[in-house]
Amino acid sequence: MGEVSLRRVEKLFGDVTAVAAFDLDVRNGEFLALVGPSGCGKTTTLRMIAGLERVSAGEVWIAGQNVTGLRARDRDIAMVFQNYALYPHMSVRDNVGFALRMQGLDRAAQDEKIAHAAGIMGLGALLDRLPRELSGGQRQRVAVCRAIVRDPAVFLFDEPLSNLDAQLRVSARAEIRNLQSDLGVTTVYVTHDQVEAMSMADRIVVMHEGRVQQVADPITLYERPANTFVAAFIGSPAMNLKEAQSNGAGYRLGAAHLASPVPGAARIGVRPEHLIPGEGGDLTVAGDVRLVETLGGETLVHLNDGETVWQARLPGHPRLAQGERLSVGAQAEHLHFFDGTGARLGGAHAA
Amino acid sequence: MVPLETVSAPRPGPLRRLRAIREEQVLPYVYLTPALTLLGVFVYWPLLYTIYLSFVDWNFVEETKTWVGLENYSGIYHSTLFQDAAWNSLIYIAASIPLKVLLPIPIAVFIWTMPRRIGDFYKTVVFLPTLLSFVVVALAFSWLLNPIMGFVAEVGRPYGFRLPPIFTNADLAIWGILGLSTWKVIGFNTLLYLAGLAAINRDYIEAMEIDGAGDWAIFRHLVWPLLTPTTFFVAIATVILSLNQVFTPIDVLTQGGPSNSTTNFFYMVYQYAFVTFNVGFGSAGTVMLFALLIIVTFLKAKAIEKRVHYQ
Amino acid sequence: MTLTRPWAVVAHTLCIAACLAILVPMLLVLGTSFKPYNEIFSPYPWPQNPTLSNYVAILTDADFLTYLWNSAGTTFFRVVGQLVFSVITAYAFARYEFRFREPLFFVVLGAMMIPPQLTMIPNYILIANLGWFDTWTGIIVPNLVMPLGIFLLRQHMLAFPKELFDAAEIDGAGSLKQLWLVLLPNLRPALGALTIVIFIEAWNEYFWPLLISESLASETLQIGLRKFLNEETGDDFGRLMAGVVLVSLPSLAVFFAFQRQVLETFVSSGLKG
Repeated sequence: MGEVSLRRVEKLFGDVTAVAAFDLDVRNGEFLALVGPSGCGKTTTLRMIAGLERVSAGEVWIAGQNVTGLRARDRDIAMVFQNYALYPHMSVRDNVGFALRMQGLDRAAQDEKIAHAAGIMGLGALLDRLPRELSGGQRQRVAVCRAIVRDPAVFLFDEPLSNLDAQLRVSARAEIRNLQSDLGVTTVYVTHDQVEAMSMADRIVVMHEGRVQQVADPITLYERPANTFVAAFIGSPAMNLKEAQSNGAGYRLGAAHLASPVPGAARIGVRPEHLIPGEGGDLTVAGDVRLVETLGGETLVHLNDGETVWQARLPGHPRLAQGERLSVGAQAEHLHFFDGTGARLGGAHAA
Repeated sequence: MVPLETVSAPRPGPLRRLRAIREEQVLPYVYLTPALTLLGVFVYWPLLYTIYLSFVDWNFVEETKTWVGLENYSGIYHSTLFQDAAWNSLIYIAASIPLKVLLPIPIAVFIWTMPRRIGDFYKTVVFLPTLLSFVVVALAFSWLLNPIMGFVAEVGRPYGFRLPPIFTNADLAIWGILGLSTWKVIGFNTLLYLAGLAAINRDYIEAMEIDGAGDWAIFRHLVWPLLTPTTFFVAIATVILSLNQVFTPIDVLTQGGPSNSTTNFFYMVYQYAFVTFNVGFGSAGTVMLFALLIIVTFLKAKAIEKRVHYQ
Repeated sequence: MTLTRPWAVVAHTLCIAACLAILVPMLLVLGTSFKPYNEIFSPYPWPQNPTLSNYVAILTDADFLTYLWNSAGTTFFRVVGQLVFSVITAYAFARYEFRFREPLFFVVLGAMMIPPQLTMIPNYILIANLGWFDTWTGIIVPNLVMPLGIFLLRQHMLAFPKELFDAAEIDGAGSLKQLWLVLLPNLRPALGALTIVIFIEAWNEYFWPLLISESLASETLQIGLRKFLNEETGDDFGRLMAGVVLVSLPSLAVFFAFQRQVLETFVSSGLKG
């Protein structure tokens, strides 16, 4: 079985802590995404799971084995790299079959497995091509094919879609997700793109500066971000996150006023889609329309309340002119409260 | 959570684990050992041993090596061979600057300005002598310039031109050696300059042309300044090369003569050690040469730094 | 850029003069090598009655064939050895991080700067003590490591994407398999060019055999040719020039077969060396 466990895993580069005491259990068959801005330690973590990077402290367990001291090649994992890392001088067939060849499988068994994996990825017709004769999307499929042919305990993905154009990325996303649930192989998937993580993963680990910020399923992450970093990082367009000045009765947020039931908040956030036109909410923001971005089915409005700019996502195509006065409001249950350290306050809000 | 140890599969054997941890730390040293051992034995140890030998009196065969302190150094210093070699070395270096360092510059710059095809043709032709051995070049010129049977003498004879004997004349021999070594290396140095020129961004030239600069102005104010570091580098490298690379033609054509007129520091060391079998003198000469080499290498490193800085 | 007319004339005049200065002696040597003995003193550059007799004489000369055998053999082992050691040493420096990597690389760079004349006396003694005097072993072994080759290959290997090593590692390839199956096949142009440069250098080597060869057991073509001048040919310059041509042919042939890469590698060797 393919559980992956990290036990207080740490990575130091010289004096710099790249990954700080990391504890994580990935269940068998789970799709787990590691997400965070570049330099947050997510790729280093993945490489420590792979065995390409030695841990400075802690233990890595895969499929019930302590593999901390094992080489990558002894860990029964397969990895898809950001630049695909296809061997330039080998045909697709030889690329896919390289791991089997290293296992010492006989030619017939190799061919059978290659044909099967190539069939799954729809690469049957391309087996004799060289990587440089393939399109970006095809190369990406070969990289995935090379991973699945080995039938490993764990798949590791290192930003496998970041070199594809936007359209291809969306279809490849679904394809990888379907493939993973069909095969039922435990997967750790690194990405800097929170949309990718949200749309694919069973659970997401948000990392920042080498530390885990939150581990949760996508909905929890979205609705109950554990701190201001997660709140700002997850969701697009980003949450409105404002300094809250306590003024006895409640808070001042920019020019708006909030009579809040949650005491002790230093910052308060509200997602753009929870700001609805009208003045009936617990929080009302009135301001001048500064910019109107049409997103297709929705419209993103930038509102300047005189002190700060708010973003509201409105359904449809409201006719708004620049400079027009507009009021939007949000219900209290859609507000997120954070204390001075950035940690979430109160549990009752948001479902 | 259940402690994983209790449900885990058999742990990998200690050997496999040990190998995994050690491998990356041990392998590079394993790979390096043969080459570094050979370099140690055939390059670094000899340098040290040479220093020892420079303090003894020995002829390769005697049982004992007599310690003589600095006598070999003072002995060399006062010998005619050393004085001649020093003087000749100066001539080799000084003459090499215009012949091997400066002359290739216009050739390279002109080739650089030409359309690719014709430029490549010139480049290939001037490069050809680099492929030949110095023995071959020396033999060819010894025939061409042979005063009795050589081709130049044959062609000149009907017109009353008498070619003087070059390699047996103490005044001319060194120039003969310089000439044929220039013939041999000029193409190579041209290529070095072409590599320096290739790094010049042609946008600058177009910008200057648009500003109305003529060919000479472009060379003077753009190409030459950008080429200066390469020139400096080639000039410094030539100090050692001009002495080192003529070893073979000297040995083939003159053996340092006539009357020490073609020998230089490198050939002198060989003469002491392998012609007169004076190991102490040869070693002392080598140590002095090594000191010169270190100075030049230091300057060359500075030149490389500068070139990197420019590009 | 394009030169203006007067400068273009100067440019071509200089380049053509340089080319003539280089080609004319070569062609004279070639022409003379086809001259029969009685035409050696003729002032014509080309033979009136071309003959292959000079070449036939050389190629049927037992001594020449022995020199050829010695040259081919020692060159072959030197090239193979230098390639193998360059590859494996460069691989260690380019692929791994280890203690003392920089100082050890400095040791290699340092060796690159040292001309053989500076180490010849102890090496001569060492070879004599090892009983390798006047043998192939004596010619080959001290020249098995080429620091410049290590340096150049390391540059190429550093430019190779590290991800491919990671991928091969995960695919189960060990260190040497990563080198042999993944890295080297992608380094073919660099290896080819380096091989040619090494070959030409070894083939043209004169200095070291001069010290330790003294008989047909190990004397190479370069040594043999020089002996021709002193002893055998006398005034038979046609034969000597035929020897010159024959000895130069392999390098020229290899060069014309793989021109581009060779030029570039020679240049980078000159810039570092």
